Amino acid sequence: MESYLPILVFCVIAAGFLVVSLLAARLLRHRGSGRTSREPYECGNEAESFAHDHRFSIRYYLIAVLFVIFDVETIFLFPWAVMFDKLALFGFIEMVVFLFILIVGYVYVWNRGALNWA
Amino acid sequence: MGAIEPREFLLLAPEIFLAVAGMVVLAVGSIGRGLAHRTTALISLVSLAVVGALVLTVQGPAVGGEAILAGMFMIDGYALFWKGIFLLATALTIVLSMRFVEEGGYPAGEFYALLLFATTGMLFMASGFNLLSIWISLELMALSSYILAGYFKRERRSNEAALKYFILGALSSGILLYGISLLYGATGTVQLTELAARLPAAMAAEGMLVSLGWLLLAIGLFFKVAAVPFHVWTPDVYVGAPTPVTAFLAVGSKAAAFAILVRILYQGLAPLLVEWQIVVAAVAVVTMIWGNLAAVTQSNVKRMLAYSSIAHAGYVLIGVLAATEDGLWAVLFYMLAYSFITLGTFATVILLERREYAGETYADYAGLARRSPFLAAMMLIFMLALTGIPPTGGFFGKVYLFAAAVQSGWTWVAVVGVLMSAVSLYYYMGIVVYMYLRDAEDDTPTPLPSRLLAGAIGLCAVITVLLGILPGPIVELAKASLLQLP
Amino acid sequence: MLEVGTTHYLVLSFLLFAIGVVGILARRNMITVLMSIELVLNSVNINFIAFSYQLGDLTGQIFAIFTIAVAAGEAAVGLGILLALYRLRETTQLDGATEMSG
Repeated sequence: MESYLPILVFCVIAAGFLVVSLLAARLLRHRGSGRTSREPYECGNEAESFAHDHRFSIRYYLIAVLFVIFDVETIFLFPWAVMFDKLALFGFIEMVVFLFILIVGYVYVWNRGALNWA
Repeated sequence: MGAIEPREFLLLAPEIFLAVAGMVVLAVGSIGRGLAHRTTALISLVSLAVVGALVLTVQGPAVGGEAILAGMFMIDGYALFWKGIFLLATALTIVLSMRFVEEGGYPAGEFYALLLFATTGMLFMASGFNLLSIWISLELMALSSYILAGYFKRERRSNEAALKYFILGALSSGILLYGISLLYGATGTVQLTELAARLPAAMAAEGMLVSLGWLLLAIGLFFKVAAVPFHVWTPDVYVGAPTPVTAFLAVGSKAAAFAILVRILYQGLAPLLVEWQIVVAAVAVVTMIWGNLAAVTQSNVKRMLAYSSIAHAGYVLIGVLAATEDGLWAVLFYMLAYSFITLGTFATVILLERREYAGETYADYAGLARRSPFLAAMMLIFMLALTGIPPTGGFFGKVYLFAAAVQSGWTWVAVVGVLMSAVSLYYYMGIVVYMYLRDAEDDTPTPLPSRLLAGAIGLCAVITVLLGILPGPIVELAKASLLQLP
Repeated sequence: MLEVGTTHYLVLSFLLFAIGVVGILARRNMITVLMSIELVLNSVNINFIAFSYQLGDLTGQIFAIFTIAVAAGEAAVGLGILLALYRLRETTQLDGATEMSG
């Protein structure tokens, strides 16, 4: 039971931090009201126009898609990392091959200029 | 599960080599602009030849059947036969594509790399012995094909073809996968031999799961071979895709889908023989009837060929249905003959495509016999072969398929096949009539735009006729490439 | 208390699968279709994980990981085709893509 004491302390501190900071924010904050504070991006400046009127650059999609692909492929790294000891050298070589293929893809994307923003 | 020996990876050398070759082509293609057209095509062709040699030398000695990588893949004669078909189909597709890709003004490296990746997927499909490995290989082939179909991305029809192919392809692989997951739930395995061993017990305990599972799995596969009523994507994709890609889809993708269909039905679902025979029989009959009748009404040649390829899937299903040795080698022989016939046909269509989509209406074939006697003669051979008239490979292919069906007691299905072949005479001979009996507005002889392409067409025609005169050696080869029957 | 068993997961996954299939076939916006495709693949994942847990067998989880990876690839290809469609037609609605009679 004793070994759980640090966890309890941690929980109390975490909850306390939450409560204290929320309370402090409530007491200290500037009570502004009105239209501007309810806007999606409240940053002091008034928004020039409504977000839906604009099309985002197609590059956002490209970057997002590239991110999704490379990001999801890391899913194979997790089981490998967990079983690293048992898989030993064989698993390591397999993973190097896998990563190498990913790098080929990365080099290709780079060569094609998909990562150039301008 | 035993330890995996390095030797098992050596046995997969052809597939690994092809994947690496694809990456090399991709890299080479992305460095320079323009200069890479011929280089990448050449690298692709050479690597396909190397892969062919590797298949023979490395996997050849294992024709007796050897399961590797914990039962993930199976190296056997059956797989080898299919791999031969895939490699030939891809090599010919590259030859067909060269002029097309060059004139289309699209990057060549990606095109050939995608072809090689798709072929890698097909090779793995032929050897796949576990629903997981089969599915991943299928996806490798399918994802590459979606992009290839939309390769002319500034072309509206090409883009539309890719869109339709992608949506229905994704749907079909979702259905297939759902079926696999249900079968896994009922049996606890996705390895084909274990699946077959555990199915009888699972049938008793979890009848619903098993029935739904294998049905969904089969529907997914029928989508991929373009069998009615799961064919709706085929005509639009075949018409819209760049013609060399259409040829590749009609031959390579279809053959690969049949390779796994037969392996899954024969080896994984063997205990359900009676059930799946009924379903396959129904699908085969509907496919033959609908494919042929719809082809009759077409005015666009590519669209007619799409429906004809649907109809041919129906004929092949007759052989699958028989589930006898005769049926199986008939399927192998037919797919080989069909590959050459279809590639030759599409190559002729490509040669006629002076402008972007010319060579597509029947009128474009008017008076071809006078303008280009060579092309007209080649087209005549291919049309005879597609109908199944001797002396062509198509004749023996159909005879073997129908005979196998009759021997195994499916006479009525074979009768439908024969009747529908008679119907197909109408639309195949339609082209011949235009070529030989109608006059063109412009009677001047047209020179062949590409000797290479003409050579490929000639090769396909020679093989088509050879298969019709001397089918013996290929039949023997097919007989040596059988699976264990259910 | 209600015990959550494999059957519940099967019902959930079947519902997701059905919603996804209907979405793919009936929706006219390509983005929605892409989402429906993801729904179908994820319903399969639920199946695999539920069965894997029930059977005490790891194959299902391995399969699910591969499904996730392939689904990402499929989404990327789909988005690429969608982008090409958008550049050609300024829309992501599928109604526009009827150059050839279906």
